[in-house]
Amino acid sequence: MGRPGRTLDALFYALLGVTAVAVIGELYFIFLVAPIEARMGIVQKIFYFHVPSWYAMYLGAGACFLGSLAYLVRATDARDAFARAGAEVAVVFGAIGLITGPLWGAKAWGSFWTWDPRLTTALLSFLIYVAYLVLRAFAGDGTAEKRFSAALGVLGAANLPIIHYSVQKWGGQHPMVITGTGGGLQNADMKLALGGGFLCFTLIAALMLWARASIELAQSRLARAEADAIDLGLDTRTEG
Amino acid sequence: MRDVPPLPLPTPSSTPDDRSTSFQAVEGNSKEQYSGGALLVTAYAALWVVLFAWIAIVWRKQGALNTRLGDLERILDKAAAEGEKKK
Repeated sequence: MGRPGRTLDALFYALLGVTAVAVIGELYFIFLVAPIEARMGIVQKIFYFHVPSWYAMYLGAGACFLGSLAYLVRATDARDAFARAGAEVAVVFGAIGLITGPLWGAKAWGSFWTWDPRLTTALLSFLIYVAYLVLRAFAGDGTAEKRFSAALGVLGAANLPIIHYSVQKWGGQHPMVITGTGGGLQNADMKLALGGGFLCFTLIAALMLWARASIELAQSRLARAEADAIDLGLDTRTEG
Repeated sequence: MRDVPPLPLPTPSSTPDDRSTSFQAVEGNSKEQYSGGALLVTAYAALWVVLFAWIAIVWRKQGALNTRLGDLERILDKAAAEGEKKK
């Protein structure tokens, strides 16, 4: 591997190390420093990674949107790989959000799920990115399929602002803690714990995007090399 | 509203009958249906399970990629060997 490859490897491992330290620090802070919330008790600590997981889902969905849009403008393997990696990150963090939210709701609301506007739109967005991945997994790797997926990646992002503003426009049960007016975390350590959560999930999402896009890109290059081998008559297997 | 008389404080002289009380089952859903600690542990466990599942999927994809790369390398080696023979 040449010098740029080695530099990228070193950067990746450095990011991995920083992420590991940040996650350990965050776990220590959440469980041993941040105080227990007065009304909800210990279950409120779910908040410190439930909210960052949705934020990381937005990051993944944003990456999918940007990669898809760029692919529609000019189709390259790298842009397609970035979009696909973004969709996968969105599904992983969406799943975490959809599991942890109801566990908090069980204590706070007395029920795991309610068809609240924010919960419903969040579930819808998660299902859009699941559909994207299913499409990529089963529809093949042709140019038309990739363009169709890119269109889904762009259109799927339309639901993201709806999730965000649904709780303001249509009400519902979902609380609004981070707002410009009212609400908020009434303790400095609680604010630090949430800030640490955002930092950790940003780092994890960046690592996942990087790792997944690299594999996807390698897969595209390999598929091209395999097709060339078939064209040159070196590989007797058929393409596809 | 009717005033509720305060519970009598137990005194050293009171008999077991004076301190008698009854436990009754909650009717309908209890407010404390779920333990906050158990929910928190479940949530954290779910977080790590999802992340490790993702790592396992990525590992499998990487394995499949290595197999395909190995096949291609074998084909190229074979073609190179045949080219040498022709020379």
